[in-house]
This record gives sequence, structure tokens and C-alpha cells, in this order.
Amino acid sequence: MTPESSGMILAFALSLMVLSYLLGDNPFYRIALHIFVGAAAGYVAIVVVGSVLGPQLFAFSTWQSAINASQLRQDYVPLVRITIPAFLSLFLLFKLSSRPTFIGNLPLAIMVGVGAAVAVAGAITGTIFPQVQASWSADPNIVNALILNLCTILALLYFFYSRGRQPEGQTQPSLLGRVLAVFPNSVITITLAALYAGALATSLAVFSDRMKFIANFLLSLLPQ
Amino acid sequence: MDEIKCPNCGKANPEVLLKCRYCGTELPASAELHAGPEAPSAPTLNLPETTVLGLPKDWEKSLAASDKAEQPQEAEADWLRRLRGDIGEAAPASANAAADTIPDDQPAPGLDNWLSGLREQDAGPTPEADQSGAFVPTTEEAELPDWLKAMPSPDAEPSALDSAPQAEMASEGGEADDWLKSFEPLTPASSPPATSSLADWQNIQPSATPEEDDDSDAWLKSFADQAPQTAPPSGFSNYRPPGAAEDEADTEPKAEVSDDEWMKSLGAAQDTLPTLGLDDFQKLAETPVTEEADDSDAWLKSLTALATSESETAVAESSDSLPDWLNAPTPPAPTVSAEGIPPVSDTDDWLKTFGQIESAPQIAPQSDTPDWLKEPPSSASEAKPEPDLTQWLSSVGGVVGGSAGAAPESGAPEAATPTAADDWLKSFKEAAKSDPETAEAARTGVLPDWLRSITDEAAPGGATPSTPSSSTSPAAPAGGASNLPDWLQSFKDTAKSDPATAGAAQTGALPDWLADLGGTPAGGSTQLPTENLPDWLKSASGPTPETPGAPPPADLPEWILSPDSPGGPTTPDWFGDVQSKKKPDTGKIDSTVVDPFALQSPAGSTPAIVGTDWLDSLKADAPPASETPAFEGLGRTTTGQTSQLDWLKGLTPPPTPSGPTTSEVDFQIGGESQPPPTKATTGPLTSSDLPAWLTEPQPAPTESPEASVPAFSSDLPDWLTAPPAEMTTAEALPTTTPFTEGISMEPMRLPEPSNLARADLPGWLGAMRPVSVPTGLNLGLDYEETAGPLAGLRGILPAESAIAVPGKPGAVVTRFAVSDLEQQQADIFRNIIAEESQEVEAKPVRKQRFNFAWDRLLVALLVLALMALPFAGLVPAGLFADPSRDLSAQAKAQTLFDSVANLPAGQPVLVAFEYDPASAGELTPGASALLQQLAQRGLEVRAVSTYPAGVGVAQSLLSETSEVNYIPGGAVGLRKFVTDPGSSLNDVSAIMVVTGSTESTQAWLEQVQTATGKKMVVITSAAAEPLLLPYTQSGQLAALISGLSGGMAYQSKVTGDSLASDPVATSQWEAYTLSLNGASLILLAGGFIGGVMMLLNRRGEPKPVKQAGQKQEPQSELKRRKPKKKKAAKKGSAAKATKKK
Amino acid sequence: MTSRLLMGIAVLSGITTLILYFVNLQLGLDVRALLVEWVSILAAMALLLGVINLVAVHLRKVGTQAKGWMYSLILFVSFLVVLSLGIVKLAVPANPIGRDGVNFAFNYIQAPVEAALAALLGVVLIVAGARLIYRRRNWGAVFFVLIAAMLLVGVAPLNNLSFMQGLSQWIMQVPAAGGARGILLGIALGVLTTGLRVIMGADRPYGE
Repeated sequence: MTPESSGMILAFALSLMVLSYLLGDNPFYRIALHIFVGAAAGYVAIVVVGSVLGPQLFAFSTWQSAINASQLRQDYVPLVRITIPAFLSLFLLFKLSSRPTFIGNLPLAIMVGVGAAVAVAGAITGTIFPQVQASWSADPNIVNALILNLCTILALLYFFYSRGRQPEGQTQPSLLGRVLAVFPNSVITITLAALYAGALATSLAVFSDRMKFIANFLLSLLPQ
Repeated sequence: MDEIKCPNCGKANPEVLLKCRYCGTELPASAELHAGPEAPSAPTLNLPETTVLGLPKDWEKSLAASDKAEQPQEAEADWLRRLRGDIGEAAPASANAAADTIPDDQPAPGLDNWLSGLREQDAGPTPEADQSGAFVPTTEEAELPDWLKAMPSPDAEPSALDSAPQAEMASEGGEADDWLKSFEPLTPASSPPATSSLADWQNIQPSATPEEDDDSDAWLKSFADQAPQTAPPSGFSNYRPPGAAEDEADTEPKAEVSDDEWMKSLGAAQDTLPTLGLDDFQKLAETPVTEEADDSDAWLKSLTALATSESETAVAESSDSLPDWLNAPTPPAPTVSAEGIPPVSDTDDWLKTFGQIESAPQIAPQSDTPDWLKEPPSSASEAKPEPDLTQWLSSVGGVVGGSAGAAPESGAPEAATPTAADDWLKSFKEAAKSDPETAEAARTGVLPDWLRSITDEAAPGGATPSTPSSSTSPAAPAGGASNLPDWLQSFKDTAKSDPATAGAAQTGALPDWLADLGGTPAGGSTQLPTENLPDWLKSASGPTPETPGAPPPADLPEWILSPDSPGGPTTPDWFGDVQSKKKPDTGKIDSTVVDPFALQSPAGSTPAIVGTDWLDSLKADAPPASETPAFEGLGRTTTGQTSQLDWLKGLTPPPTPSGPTTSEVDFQIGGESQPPPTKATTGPLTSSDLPAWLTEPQPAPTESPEASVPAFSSDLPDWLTAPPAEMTTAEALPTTTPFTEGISMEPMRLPEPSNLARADLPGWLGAMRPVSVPTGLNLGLDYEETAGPLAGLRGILPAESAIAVPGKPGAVVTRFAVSDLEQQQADIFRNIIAEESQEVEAKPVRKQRFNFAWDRLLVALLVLALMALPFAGLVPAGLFADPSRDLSAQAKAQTLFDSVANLPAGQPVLVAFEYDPASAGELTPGASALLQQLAQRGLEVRAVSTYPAGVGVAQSLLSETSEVNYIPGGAVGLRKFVTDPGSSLNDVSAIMVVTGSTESTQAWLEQVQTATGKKMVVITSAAAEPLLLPYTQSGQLAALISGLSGGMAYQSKVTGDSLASDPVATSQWEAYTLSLNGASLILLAGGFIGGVMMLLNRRGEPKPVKQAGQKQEPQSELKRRKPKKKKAAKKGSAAKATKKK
Repeated sequence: MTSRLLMGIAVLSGITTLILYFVNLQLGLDVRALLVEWVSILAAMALLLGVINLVAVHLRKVGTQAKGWMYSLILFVSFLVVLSLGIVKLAVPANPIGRDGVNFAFNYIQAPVEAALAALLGVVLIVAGARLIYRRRNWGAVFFVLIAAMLLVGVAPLNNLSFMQGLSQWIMQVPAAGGARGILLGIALGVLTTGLRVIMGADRPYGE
């Protein structure tokens, strides 16, 4: 039996074990799920170590080149670029302990600060400005452009529309507020329906792919 | 230090000596002469000799003996044997034993019995009363200290004699002063010893109240008058074991023995309620001296002359006249008579006389009572011919006649003279001498004579018998009522042993009257009234004796009917005469008194009648004081107390209110053994008509109902069946015990608010009050002890622990254990637990899972069926649209295709595989087509991925040699990838992202495309398309294809082949199309069914309160999702509703 | 004190990175690149620590034989197998066993299970859509179901339902795109505000 055929049988069995969840939670589904999690964790470890930590942090060549650069060219940048993340990575190991420590939170604070700055900058330069600029960009169909922009505004109103709350936590919008709330809700409803339909189409596409795999496996079992 | 004169040689001896140092005669204890310091401790010394109830330790023996006596064959021997035992043993033993047999008749045992009964009365309730258990706990608590307080100091000695009458006088509406005045002539001589003894008494009993001190002084005075020099030995000897009495009787001369014995009885008497005596003599001290002092001197002198000459003969005659049972140890009574011999002083005379009187009963006691029972009183003329009795009868008659004769004239019985007293005493002496003849004559029917003499006495003036009884205690009739059942009871007991008893009766000891009754069964005893007492019984409703010339029968009934009228004649006069003039009768009746005593029946009232009547017949005479010995002898029983009361009443003209002292006496008597619960049964005469000891209901003894009640009911059917008011009380008597008779006065007094001062109540009486149930133990200053010797006191530490205090523990515990705050908190906690339990009952999740499983299975089966149809070739051809012909898809595919086609040649392209195997089924067609087009153009592909799994997906699409770099850190990693100088992004012409998520595309757009400005095309999933379209419209994305349709369209564009060329791809497309359309149909069907159910639910269910500004959620969802929210919503709505209201 | 120090480090790193986005200086670029490089390495290390923590948790369950310890054992075994193959692949790149073994595990274990799980998602989404009107009894749900059904048909219409493809395309291109843009802008503004709060030290997700 070739690895492909054995792989096909294993994949077929695991697919059936997972699909058995349609009948309810059962040990086959759990076994397949734990096998998948273990394999995925192992694969992630291999990818992370082999693609990032190994070449950039654990590789002897990297340290040797950094040291050589610092000794030969008095260039301490490579050594700093390796040493500091190495120490920060060691500090992260303290996060494995149950109680949070300053040493374990130090690299995390750096990650959060830099990540927030990157996200803010990317949101401003990559989404807000281009999308706002694109809202008044000319569209061959003005009606569609007005509707598009109107829906955009209504969607923004849905997010930023606020009502005064009473002590009980209930809101009592005025009639105008209730009338105005219908359009944003409709726009969001349409958008979410599109997202739902796209998600369902994606899942059904994957389901059909699984059905193709099962059909091909079953057809492969048939005598030629 | 006092000196004691020898009763024999008259020489003075130191007080410390017990026997005369000159003649060896045993000296009387100084305690008997006056109140000595050692007196109070005497009872304490003797206390171990008696039970808690005051009975000797061996009282059970006598009870056992009495049980044996019920055997017929040994009846006589038994009662004789028992009588011997009675003489030696303590009184209750002999009393109980004699109760079943004839020795009732014997005066000596009778005397001893009532002496012992008096002791027992002092000590406390009877064992029967103890067994009743109704009051024993209370008495044991409250009685002991009082008992000790009342323990006979010498002070109490005479008071014991006076206590009962005192109490009875209290019940008679304040006749105490009457009899107290009788002591007025005696008071002067008694002061000195009383004073000294009073000091001693105060030293010993500092707790004694000033009143008690005065009382002790008073009674000491009176006592000194009665027996100043020749006071009997210490009354402590009364508490010596019975054996001691027998030894003395055997070894010592009778005079000594009798002396000792009667002093024992006197000591027994002194043990009776000493404080009572103190109170009495307090009045005595305050009473002014009157002329009667001379009279008392006169009769005392006459008594002296009598006693010196005839004591031995009296004893000898008495001993001779006694049957075989006289061989037994000498009973105390005859010896007592001998004791009166020593001519010590004037005041000894009455003791001698007493000795004679006491010796007489043994002669022919049985011979009299039966006679008068046998022979009904016929006429007054029959009494005249009797020679023996003529003189004393004449003396009495003279007295009475004088009084009687004076009655019509003056109507005052007080017209008594010393001369009459002398005559009376002479006749009394002769009567004592002629006891044998009297006994002989009794058999020959002499007694009818005196019965006739009664009629004679009654004939000249009916006032004669009635007049003395005018001041007689109402106890007399009740006593008579109770007397009859008592000695009849003894007869009945005798009847059980009829053959022997009857024989004995024929032979002399118990002659015909016993033979008459002996054969009479209990029921037969009812014939007695009909046979012997027909007249006076018939004349129960006859005219009062006050009516002159009233028929003789009419005289007797008066004592039955009179009690209702205060001062009316209460006792049959003939009975009183028998008591006074025929000592045998007295002795007999004494014995009969004693027997019911033992039977715990109120027969003690008999001597009351006796003493009452013979004293009543001598009322208002000084000489009756000469009867004091007899009275004392009788007075040593509870009945004697009554008799004492009666003759004292005869001596006292105007009654005065008894005052608090009397009430105190009463309470003290009652407190010694009477339980509060027994107050309930009281006759209508309890308060005033009858003495308390008669009206006192007693806790029914175990055996007394058999012993007394049947006899009582059977013997007195006629005048008991339709009794006067007092009989209702008399019916309660049989259940009384001799030891609680005197005690029984207390409950009778409690209801009377008249003479009671709350502050005068002793502590033990306060302890007997009904105690209110405390709800908690209050230890404050206002705490009042409710039990024990400290009962009634305030501000003391409780004698009982909080646990012992009765109450409602639940309430107490609740109040002390849980505060209100804690209770509220407990309620809140209880409510929380209850709500939690209610939530557990809902179980909505289970229901939801069950429904979901069915829905999911059905939908899964439908989807599987729709997807399986194309692969099974069951789908008709031409049903599905070819994606290659889809205009929208074709346009998108064309845009992408053109974008790739327009890339500069020889320039690498960065392909980012930003998806995992979960999206591979949808994205693989587009990704593979892209790689194929890039490969067609010969463009270098640099594969990267920010997904670890994307590396594997890329490697599965790329060749084995291609390298896929993993970019860690998401957006930061992309930023690093952009800024990395050695990055592979620097020389690429385009960025092609194959992604299944919007976030990765945004990251690439925001971090890479914005930073580099390079063309970027995206192959994404249908799920991410709606959010990536704006980037397409904004121009940030050069091309975008989405989903399986876009991938297949682009694939067909790249390959140039239609979908039909690939059957597997066609089947997948058909399955995908069928599933999408089927899913839309399922959504519509589900929406339709949901809408119908929504309409049905809205019609069936009440419209839920719609909260403005919130989307209304159906209750079904609330039930299945968050059952708690439903409650919260309901509570909120309820609160709103209330607000609106 | 430590929390203030952490906040200072986070604010300093964040402000430095943000400023250097808009300041085009070489030194700034180097510092920004240096910070981003450190964070990317820390992110990879954090991912590895996550894997280690996952394995440690399941090993603890196996050691204590807690509930479901058998599944944890299966997970650990599969992890060891894939990790061993990957170590062989990394240690001996020339040895095909490691590479093929890792690829085999990915293609025949991870890919089918993930695809099957995604397929289950389709069924779950259909059931959820079918229950929507029954759960949320309002016109919004009805509208949602109708739009979703129309878009589904428009994605892959049958031949006789091609007319619905244009309507679905218009809905996707105009109102849905407009709404999606509003959502994107809303998300971007949310990211902006959240990032600024973190940079300013208002939010401290790194702990106290």
C-alpha cells in the first residue's frame, strides 16, 4: 500500500469520524479532533522553529555572524538584534507560570505597544483614508454610488447611533429615532445576510470538496 | 444553768444529768421544763429516726403486720401482737397495725398511736401521701427548712397541743382567743423560765421573727403554768427507737416508765408545729388575767389530792382489767397514768389525774361503746338507777344541771363553780377506781344507764347538751361524722376475723358490742345505725336541743345538723359525757381514733368529738381544766387538738379574730405535708363550718379507699346518703391520711384572704404557691426565687439553673440564639437557595440540544443527499448553469487573468497563501489556476504565509523544491516583512494573496500594499468577498475572485476548457450548486415554519411586554437560552407594571 | 510600580513605532524595524509557548488520569509523531522521511479533518438560518432569511433561476458593499481608538 493510498484511507476515516458529529457528539469525533489538534500543534512547532526561531534565534550561524560583525566591524547592531529578542523570548517562558510576573509581562508589553501602533497606522493608511476617499469616487452608476454611500453612512450610523439609557438600562428612542433605526438595521441586515450567504457558500464548497474526496476514494476502491 | 427537780425525790439536779443523783430516777430533760438551748436541736437529733414524712423507719413493718392481721384465724392474736408492737414501736406502725384489728379499743396503744401519729404529723405527710406523689416533690423542697424551723424546741411543746385547736379555731371564725383565755389563769407563773428559755431560743434561732420570740415567751409562760417543776423528760425520747420504749417498760418501775412514756407523748406533742405554739402563746401572753385563775388553782389542787392517792390502784386495776395482751410490754398510756403519781406540786396533780384517765381506758373500753350501741337511748329515767355513775353523773349533771338549770334562768353556761369542779373530780376519781366494776357492769348493760342519763340531762333542759356545744367547734359534727366510719371501719376489719374476734368479745376484752359488730360484715355494719341509733338518726331532722323539753331523740340530731349554724351544738352530748366520765370510753374511742389514724382516715376526729363533748358538758367550768391531762393525752393526736379546741371553747366566752398568727399556724400546718394540688376538693364548709383538718382533701392513699371509704359509706348510709353540707367534706375524709390532717388545713386557708397577710407567709409557703412558668431565667435584681427555701426572695442568685427552670425552651432558644438580623439573612439565603432549585428544574439546554440534534441531522441528511446526487449521476443534465458562462464570474476571472497577464516578465511575484486546509476545497481551484498562469508566463513565485498551515497548503500546491516562508506576527510580521531589507518583497512586481479571511487581506493591504504601493490581487472565499469588495471599489485591489464559482471561472479561463471537461469538477460544481439551492430552500422553509409558529404563538400566548428600544425576543428563545433572563424580564415587567400603576 | 513600568514600556514602544510610521528618517526606520523584528520573533516564541502549554496541559491530564485523559494521550501521541518527523526534516533536510512524513501528516491528517470541520459548519449554518425566524420573531429576521436565500441562489443558480443572479450580484455590489464599507470603517475606527488607548496607557492588556 503506497503512502498515498494509506493516506487516503486515513483521510477518509478521519473525515467520516468528523462528519459523525452530525449524529451527535461521539468518541470518534473526539478522537479525530484530538488527533488533528496534536498534529496541528506539532506542525506549528515545526514551522515556527524551522522558519523563524531557528534561523533568526537558535541558529549558530546567526550568532556567529553577529559576533563577527560586532568584533570585526564594531557593528553591534546584529548582536543587539539577536540578544535582546533572545532575552525577551526567555522572559516569555515565565508566562508559563500560573502567576503573572514582571519579567513575563515585559515582552508582552512590548508586543502590545508595537502591535497597537502597527494596527493604528495600518487602519489609518490602509482602510480609513482609502475607503473614505473611495466613497466619493466617481461611479458610473450614480444611483448605485448614492445607495452605496448611503448604505455606508447608515452602517456607520448603526455603529455610532446611541440613545440615552434609563436607570433600568432600557432605552426609549423617539419615533424619529425608531424610524431612523430601521434603515441602518436594514443595511446591516443585508450586509450580514451577504456575509452569511458567503460563509454558507464557502462551507458548502468545502463540503462539496469533501464529498468529491469521498467519491474519489470510493471510486478508487471500485475495481477498474 | 438550770436545775431539774427529780420527779421522784424532788431534789434538784444539774440540768446536765439524765438521772437523779439522789434516787437514780431518770430526770426529765430541761427542754421539757422550759425552752432550753438544746431544745431546738432535739428534733434534728431524732430526725434520722423518721422518714422524710416523719414516719419511723420501720413503719413498713407495721403495715406488713396489718396485712397479716386480715387473716381471720389469727385476728385477735394479731391485733394483740401488733398492739404490743405498737406499744413499743413508733406510733404509725401500731396505728397501721391496729387499724385492721380490735386494739383500736385499747387506750394505751391508742394513746401511743395518736402520740406517734402526732409525731408523724410533725414530720410530714404519710407514706401514702408520698406514694401519691402529688405533692412530695414540693413538700420535700419547701417543707424541710420549715420542718427544721418548726422542730420542737421546748417552746413548741405546749403549742403542739394547742396548734390543732388553734388552726381549727381559725376555721371557726376566730375562736382561738377562747381557748387561749383558758390559759389565762396559768400564765402568771410561767414568766421566768420562759424568759430565760426565750433568750436561748433566740440564740439558737436567730432567724426567728420578733413575733416568734414573743410567742415563745408566751407559750413558755403557759407551759410553766402547766408543768413548771415536774415537767416530763425530754420529748426527744419520743424519737427513740420503739425498742427503747419497750426496754424501759420492762426494766424500770411503771411509774418511771409511764413517766417517760407520757413525756414521750408530750415530746411528740411538742414536735407539733412549734411556731404555731409560739403564735398561740403570744396571744396568751397578751391576754389579760381573769378570775378564772383561781378556778384553775382550785381544780389543780383537787387533782393533786386525787392523783397522790390513787395512781397505783389505777394502774393495778387497769393492768388487771386488761386481758392477756397486757402481758405485752406496758403500753405508754397506763404508765402515763402512773406517772402522775409523784406529788411534786400542784401543777403535778393534773398529771396524776391524767395518769388515771389514761389508765382507765384499758379497763373496759369495749364494754361501753357496744352497750350504747346496742341499746338505743330510751328515756331519761333509765339513767337514774345506776349507782356508779350516779355520782359523777350527778356531779356532771350537777354541773350540767346547774348550768342547765341556770340555762333557763341565765342561759349562760359560764356559771361554773370550783365546787362543781371538786365534785366532778371526785366522781371522776371514783370512776377511775371502779374501772373494773365499770367494765363488769358494762357487760351487764350498765351503759344504757348513762345513755338514759343523757336523756335525763337533756330532759331538764335541752340547753344542757346544746349549750356547751354552742361554742363547740364545727369540727365536732364532722368529727362525729368521720368518727363513725373510723371505728366502724375497725369493727369491719374485726368482722373479717369474726370467729376469734367474736369469741374474744364474749370473753371480756371485746365483749358483746364487738360480738355484735364482729359478725357484721361491712355491709352489715350499716345495721348499726338502724339498730342502735335509730332515734337520733331518725331525729336527724328533729328540733334543736336548745328547745326546752324537746324529746331526747331530738337532742342528738342537733350535733349533726347544727354545724351549719355557728356555735350550734355539734357533738352528741352523750358522747361527750362518755368521754368525760367514762375514761374507758375515752380510751376506746381514742383507740378507735388511732386506728383510722393508721388507716389514714380522718378518724382522728373521733377524739375531737370525745374531747369536745365531755368538755362541752363541762363548759365554762374551771374544773374542766383538770381534764387537761386527758385533753393533753388526747391532744397529742390531731384529734386531741380538736378536743382541746372544744373544751377550750367551752372555757372561753367571746370569740376574737384569730389574726395573722392563726393563719400562719394554719399555713404552717398545711405546709408541712400538704401539696397545693389537693386544695381542690373542699366542701362548702371548708372555710368556716368545719375545721380545716376535716375539710382538708388529701391525696388519696393507695390503700385507704378500701380501708376507709367502703366502711364509711356502709356504716353511715342514712345520714351520709343525704348529708348536710358538712358531709360532703366528710366524704373526703376517708381519703385523708392522719399525717396530713393537720397539714390539710393549709389549702383550706389559702383561698381565704381574710386573715392572711402576704408578708407573713413563710418562705416554704411561698414556694408552694402556683409558680408562673417563666419564659426565661431573669437574673436581674427583680429576679424572684420560685422554688426551694429561698422561694419568694428577690435579688438573689437562682437556686435553680437556667436548664431547670420550666418554660418554653423553643421560644427562649429562638430569642437568644437568632437575632432579627440573622433571621432576615437566613430568610434571604433560603430564598436564594429556593430560586436556584427552581432554575435547576427548567433544564432548557437539554431540550435545545435534543431539538438541535434532530434539526441538524435532518439538514445534514438533506445536504448529503443533494451532494450525493451529482456524484451518483442522478442529476439530470442541463439543470445547472455552467460557471464559465456566468457573466459576473467571467468578469472577475477576466480581471484577474488580465492582471496576471499584464505583469512584467522576469519579475518575481509574491504569492501569499493565507489560508488553511479548511478553505482549501474552495480556494484550491483559483490558487492552482493562478499558479498555472504564473507558470505559463514563467514568473518566479515567492510563496509566503502568515499562517503556519498556509505553509503546508502552499507546499502542497507548489513544487517540492519551492520554499514557503512563514511570516510570524500577523500585521507586525508583515510590517517587518515590508521593512526587512533582505525581504523577498523588495523586487516582486505584484502581490497575489490567496486568502480565506478578511483580516489577512486587510493586513496585507494595510501593512504591505499601502507601504509598497504594489499591485495586489486577491483570490478569496465567498465568505470574505462582501468585506473585500470595498477594497476592490476603492482600487486597492487590482482583482478579486471569490468562492468556488470564481475559482472555477478563473480556472476555466486559464485552462481555456469548460467545466464539463472535468467530470469530477463538474460533479463537485453540481453538488455545490444543489447544496446552495437546497440550503436556500431550507432557509425559506424554516423561515415559513417559523413564521407560522410565531403567528400561532402570538395568538395563543399573551403578548409579552415589549420593551422599547429592544428587539422583542420570543419566550421560546428565552426558555431555551437563558431561563434566568425570563425571570429577570418578568420581574422587570412586574416592576414596570407597578410603576405604571 | 511594575505596572507603571510595563505601561511605560508599552507606551514608549507604541509611540515610537507610530511616530516612525510618519517620520521618514533612517534612524527611525532602523529603530522601527528593530522593534518590529523583536516583536515578530516574540510572536513566534509566543506561538511556540502556546504549543508547549497545550501539550503540557494534556500531559498533566494524562498524568493525573483526569476525565478524557485518553484523548489527551492521543493528542500527545499525534503531537510527538508530527514533531519527531518535523525534527527529522529540520535536522536532516536531505532525508525525505522527515519531509514526506510532515507532508503526509499535513495532507492526510490535518487537511481532511479541517475540511470536514468546515463542512460541518455548512450544516450548522443552514440549521441556524432555518431557526432564525423561529428564534427572532421580527421582520429583520425575515428580511435576513430572504436576502440570504436570494444571495445563495445567486452564487450558483440553476439554469431556470439565472435571473436571480443579477439581483444577487447587485445586492452584493451595492447595498452589501456599502454596508461592508461602513463596517470596515467602523472596524478601522474601532482599531484606531483601541490602539490609541493602548498606546496612551488607558488599556493595559499586558497585565498589571
